[in-house]
Amino acid sequence: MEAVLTENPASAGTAPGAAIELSGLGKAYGRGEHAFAAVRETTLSVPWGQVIGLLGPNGAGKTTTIKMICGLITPSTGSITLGGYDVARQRSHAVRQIGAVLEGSRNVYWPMSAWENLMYFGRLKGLRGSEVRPRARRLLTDLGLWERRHETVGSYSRGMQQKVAVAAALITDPPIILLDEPTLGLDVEAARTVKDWIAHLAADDGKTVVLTTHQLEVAQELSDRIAVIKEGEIIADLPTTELLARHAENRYEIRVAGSLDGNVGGLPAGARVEPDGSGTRVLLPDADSATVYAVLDQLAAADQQLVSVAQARPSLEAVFIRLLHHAGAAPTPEAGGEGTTP
Amino acid sequence: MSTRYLVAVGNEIRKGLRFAWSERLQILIELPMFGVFILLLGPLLGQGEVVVGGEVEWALDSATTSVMLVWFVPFIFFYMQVVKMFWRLLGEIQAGTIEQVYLSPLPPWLVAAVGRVVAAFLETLLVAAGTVAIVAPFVPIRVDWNAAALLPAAMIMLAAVGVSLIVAGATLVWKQIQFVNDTVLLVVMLFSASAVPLIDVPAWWADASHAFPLTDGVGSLYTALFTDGSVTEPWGMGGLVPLLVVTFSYLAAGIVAFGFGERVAKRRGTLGRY
Repeated sequence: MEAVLTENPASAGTAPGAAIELSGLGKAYGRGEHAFAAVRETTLSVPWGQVIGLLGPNGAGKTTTIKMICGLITPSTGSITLGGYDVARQRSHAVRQIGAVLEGSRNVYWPMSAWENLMYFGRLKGLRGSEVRPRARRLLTDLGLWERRHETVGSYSRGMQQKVAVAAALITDPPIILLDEPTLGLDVEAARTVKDWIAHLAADDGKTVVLTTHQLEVAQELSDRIAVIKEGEIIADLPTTELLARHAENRYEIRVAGSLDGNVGGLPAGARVEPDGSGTRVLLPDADSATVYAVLDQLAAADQQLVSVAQARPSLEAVFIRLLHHAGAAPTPEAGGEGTTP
Repeated sequence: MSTRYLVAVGNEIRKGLRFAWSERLQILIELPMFGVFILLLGPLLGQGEVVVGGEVEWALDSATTSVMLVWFVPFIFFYMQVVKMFWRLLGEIQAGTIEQVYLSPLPPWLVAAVGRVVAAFLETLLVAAGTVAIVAPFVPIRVDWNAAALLPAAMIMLAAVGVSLIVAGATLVWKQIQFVNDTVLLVVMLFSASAVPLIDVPAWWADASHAFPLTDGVGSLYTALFTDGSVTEPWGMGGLVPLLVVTFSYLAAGIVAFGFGERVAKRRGTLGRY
């Protein structure tokens, strides 16, 4: 499947084609009766500059997928290309395309200072010291760590350590960033900083970002596109707005100026009328389009001035839970909203 | 090798030295032990029969102690390279930084080994100097430096790198192999001793010892530093042929074993899992 789902331009200097291509990717652990498929036949194309959220419950296969993209786990089936480079056959080129913050890892050396870590990881990826220094300075300054750059990372707070990990992933300015639970365990303020930084990477630097998180409001805010994984399979893969729209409930809210004053007598069963400032709000909890039009006709006939009509949008969390419990009817672009895997 | 590679290799050396420096207290604590070991063992060497008879002459002999040092210093390097590589790799696995190291475009075996070699070399110099400083007041050390010793010294280093890569490959797969590691050290120490003429060993022991990584290196060092012989003599203890064959066999086996361990760990998904 080639599901190019956004119109984000490719960032400058990136290769043509997709940033990340997963083709028939699968991973099984063990053999015989004990075999366990962590990831099944996953095909995904992520264009340059897109932020894709990989969501799923624990054990769904998110981290395995991320680590396969990094080349840290060998797939059982399928292939991965990063910027056109095959991870299995062109590892050294492929890994130059990515920076990663991996879940549950320290990611950086705690006995070393933030400065030493950035210099080390920059050189590890082949940059000269003179190339790393200005970039390390900018990253540490932007992340508010410059004043404490010579202190060991082990002495930092969890949030500061995660900032160093993000900076280390960005030190070579890779076009693709993989973030596995980047806000896990952070306090509200630190999580906000990391979240803002991710948004900055995507919006201002044109990075392609793959994000896994259990904090669905973070995913909803940052992701152009959401892929939901359950038991190793992608059960939904859509632009975030489309995913939410497809799961919009039959719940409408009509606002009119002034009060109704008993002008509308035939509202459908369950409808509620509430004052809304100087106007009135009519809530239709379970209405199809025909019902909504009928109510609007009544309001028009009663000379009520219409302010707005809106369909209630569910939160990503509500959609996520619904998808996990009704995986068979999950939407993908190719399947026209009724497929199971892309 | 491109500049990019040289930069990254220098980077690993810098990291190795950085961690070696952070372990300076441990090295300082270990340092006297090496000296004490030499002082205690020296008087016993070559006195097997009198030891059995219970009549040990507890006196240090300059020639014996000097030869012992030449046997012992390569072993210190071997210890520094193999044991510390194991613990450091295990530390990287536990911490999770191993996965970030694997995101380097460099061959992972190179990243794993290079920094450790230079750090081990410098640590060995320090420990050897410290050991001599401890032993020298009790007994004069006489070693006639000879540039020919560079050949066996280099081979000893390469063989140690090979063994350390074998251990590292096994560590990537099985993680907790301290006992195997300790056993390897003990066996190498015992068998390499057969290269020192002070120690009588059975013929089978001497024959088998050629298969171990340090033996011919120590034998060649002995030839260069204490005899009029040549290190280019092809056969015999420390002969050039067994020295090169054994050294490069261990190095090749190390690279293969590390690659194998890495592939297994990646297939199992346990590269960064402890």
